[in-house]
Amino acid sequence: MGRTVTTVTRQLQETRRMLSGFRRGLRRSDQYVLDGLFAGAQNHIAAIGECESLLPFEAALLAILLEQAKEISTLNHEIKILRGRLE
Amino acid sequence: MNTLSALKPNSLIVLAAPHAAREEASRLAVELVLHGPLTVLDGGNRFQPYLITRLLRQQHVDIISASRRLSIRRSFTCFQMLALLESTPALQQPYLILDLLAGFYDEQVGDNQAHRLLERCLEQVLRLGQLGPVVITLAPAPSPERSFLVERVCSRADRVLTPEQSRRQASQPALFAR
Amino acid sequence: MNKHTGWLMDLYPGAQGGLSLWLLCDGGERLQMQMNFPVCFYAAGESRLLRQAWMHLQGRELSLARTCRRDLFSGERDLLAITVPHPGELCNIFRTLSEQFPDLDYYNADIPLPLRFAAQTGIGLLGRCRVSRNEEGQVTALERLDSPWELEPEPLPLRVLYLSPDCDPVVCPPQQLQVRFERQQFCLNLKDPQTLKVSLEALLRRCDPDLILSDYGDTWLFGQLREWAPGLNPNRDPLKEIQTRNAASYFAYGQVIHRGAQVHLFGRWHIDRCNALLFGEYDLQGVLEQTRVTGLGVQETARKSPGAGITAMQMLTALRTKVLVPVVKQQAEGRKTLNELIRMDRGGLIFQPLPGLHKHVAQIDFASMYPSIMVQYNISPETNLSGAPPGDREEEGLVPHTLRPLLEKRLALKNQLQQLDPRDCRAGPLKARAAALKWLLVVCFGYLGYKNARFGRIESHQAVTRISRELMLQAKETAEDLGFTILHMYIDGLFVQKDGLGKPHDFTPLLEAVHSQTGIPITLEGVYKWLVFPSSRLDSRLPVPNRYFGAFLNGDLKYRGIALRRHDTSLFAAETQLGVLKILAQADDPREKAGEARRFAAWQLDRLRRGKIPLDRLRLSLKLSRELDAYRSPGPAARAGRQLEARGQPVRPGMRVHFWYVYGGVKVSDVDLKEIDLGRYRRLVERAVDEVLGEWGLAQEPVLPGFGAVPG
Repeated sequence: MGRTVTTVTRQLQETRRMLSGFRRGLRRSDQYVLDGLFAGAQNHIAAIGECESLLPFEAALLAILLEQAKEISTLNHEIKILRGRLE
Repeated sequence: MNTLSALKPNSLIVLAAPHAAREEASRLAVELVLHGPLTVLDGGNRFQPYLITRLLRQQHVDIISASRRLSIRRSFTCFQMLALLESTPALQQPYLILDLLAGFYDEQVGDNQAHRLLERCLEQVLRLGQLGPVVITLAPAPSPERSFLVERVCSRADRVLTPEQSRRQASQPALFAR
Repeated sequence: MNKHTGWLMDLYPGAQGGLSLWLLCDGGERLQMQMNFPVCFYAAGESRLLRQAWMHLQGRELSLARTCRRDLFSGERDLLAITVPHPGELCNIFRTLSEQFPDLDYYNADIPLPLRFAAQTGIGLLGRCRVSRNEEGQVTALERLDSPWELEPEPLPLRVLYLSPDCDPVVCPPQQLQVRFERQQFCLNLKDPQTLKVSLEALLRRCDPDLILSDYGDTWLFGQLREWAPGLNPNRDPLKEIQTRNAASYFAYGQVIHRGAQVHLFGRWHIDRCNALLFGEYDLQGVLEQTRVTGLGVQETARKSPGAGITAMQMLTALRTKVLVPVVKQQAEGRKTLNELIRMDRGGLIFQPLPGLHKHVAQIDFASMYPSIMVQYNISPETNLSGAPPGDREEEGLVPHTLRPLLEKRLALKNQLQQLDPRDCRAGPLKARAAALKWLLVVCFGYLGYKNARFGRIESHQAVTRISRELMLQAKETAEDLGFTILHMYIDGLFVQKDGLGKPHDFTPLLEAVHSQTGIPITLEGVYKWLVFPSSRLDSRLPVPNRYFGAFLNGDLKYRGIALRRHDTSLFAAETQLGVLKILAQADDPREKAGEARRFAAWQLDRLRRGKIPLDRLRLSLKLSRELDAYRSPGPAARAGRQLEARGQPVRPGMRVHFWYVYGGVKVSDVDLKEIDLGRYRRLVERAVDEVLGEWGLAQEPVLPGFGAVPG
């Protein structure tokens, strides 16, 4: 029996498709960053699925934020190290 | 297709379109569920849950309450479609039957058997339609030999809507005479 | 009165009524016997219709009775029991009755005869038994001597005759038939039909094989023999004729499958290796093992999907427990709200991999996770739909009752296998048998949700995935509590890593903790000295689930989702990719061997350029996913299909077509090396090499001259 509810991965693809106009309107360099945001969400499809949200994109936004927070945390850490070396 | 304007109590509307009017049916489901309970019976895996929740969100309504008003049951063969219809109680609410004929298009089911089962299904559809409107969506028959099934369903309908018909702006009529 | 002991080889409706049985006796005799074996089916429905059906059947040589039995879904039902004295007549009687009374529900009308026999006598096909028979050859008594669940059944002393043409009949007309029997090997010329007929008759008489194991027997040989040698009867039972079954295409397991026409024999078996679905996976030993546990005939088992085996096992359980087997499944799904549907209609848990190269990674897998859940949580259409742990007093459902011995046997065989030296001669057959059981277990979960499964129910299917997701999350949490990093989780397996741990025994505490937490056994698949999760070719920031390659501590490779595993890869491209991986596997850090691997790839491409690669290594094999007319812009497979069709070959969806890339397109036969489109093959090989060497940053610089990263 086929699945009726589409997978989270498909859902994210669908959302990207819906945002294709928005993407087109961006500079090439910004498009690359936008794709990176979606790739960040893609890393957390299990978590988005477990959320059982009626609107999975809301959870996907949280996953994108999470990836950004990780990136900020990594950069902060590196800054600390570099500062340490300078002082 | 403007289905909503054609919906009246005790009416049987057929939407016949490629992919069993999948998108149209989702939009209709949203319109209906905004006004009360709705039962969807899906015969061909046409129901799009996330499209419906997204459309509901666009209406700025409480989507959790709205989605609780929508009940769904699925069947995957024509035998299961009959069982599904037979076990669905007739209530004062609309019924949306998606891709009713999907299981009937199966090559393993003979013409006679498909015809016989469809007649029994249509009896059940009429039973459900006694209290609320019924909308059936149909996909085109995969071969000319099976087009009699589409014709049979359409012959029982009060109104048949196809993609060629003009897409007028939907207006919301009263669903039930209270 | 004669008594014989041996293996039950075959049974089918006798040519003169009753049942025909073949016994492979301990003394080496192949004995045919007859047996009275009335069979029964049931009709249920409105009393008025049942009365009419009764009247309709009266006066025939049938026994009619009223009875009551349990339908798994709707409970006890009043039934009209129709007993047919000769099993061969049941099919016709049922067909006529169901056409006349289509609104009745029918039960037990399409149960394979060997299953009825096994249910009634306790003796399944390939089971050992003692048979008493009278002077007329009629069976008077039967005694079961073993069980299908024995771990080491006595091996059957089978006589196997191998027949294969000297080439693929689709590619060119065969000139010779290669024959192999025991230590003899010779060829029969196909040019003179009369001589061929005489030779084959003599061969069958002299060898009296139990099994004809052919290549293209279903789709070519027996069809040709009918033309070339019309009077030849390859059956052991002289009163029977060859049974042919038509080719069919159907949709299953998410793809279109084509099954070629089939040729079945009586009293001996015929298996076409090229038309046997999973023969390549588990060989004859696996087929025999599946026959033992499913009860289906050997010729059926070899050709049908494991799903048919699972259905057969469930039917047998139903027959033994007096549960009705419906001819068609009629149950529909229960009511759900939109919220509930979104929550329940989900698959297994996939936790995306961390792309890149990782060292000292352990892969741990839940042993037969889905069937274990079904058994442990008692998931069956009539029992547990909620997925809550079952109570002590809850009766075991039909599905877990069927699966439990299968699961136990497979685990026992796997344990035996782990204790054997891989060079031990028992290891091969044991591995094949374990693989055959594994396939049955793999499909049993899918069958819970299959639309036509007699004992399937979508809610049961959903309960299993729900539990599996919960158990995977528990395993993740347990591993993280013990300080492990989770690199990837896919359905029933986890890839974990922890600094300082790199030996198999290092992971034992983790396995024990997960087992204790989840209640489902979890095993160590192995420890990789290195493992790579490639990222997406489209965007290197995107992870790809279940795509990886790596080397275990002993240097053995494991890979999933790369060209080597795909059916649409030519042997040459696959061999090149494997060669590269083998070089990388020699090192503890694959980067140390990247240069050597690149040189190997360059050498392979040089051989290709110089025309040193045999044509059979360049042949591609693609599946047709639809009718040829349905292709809007025909790709290579459709173009190859059209060429075959133009030559008069039947082409159906699901069929695999073989072809070569030549200048200007594709060709399915009569290919010359000069025509081969070397540039195209070069690109395919480069892509396969890049798939494994393009990781760890080397893709930025050309791996080979003119060999850069594949553009996204």
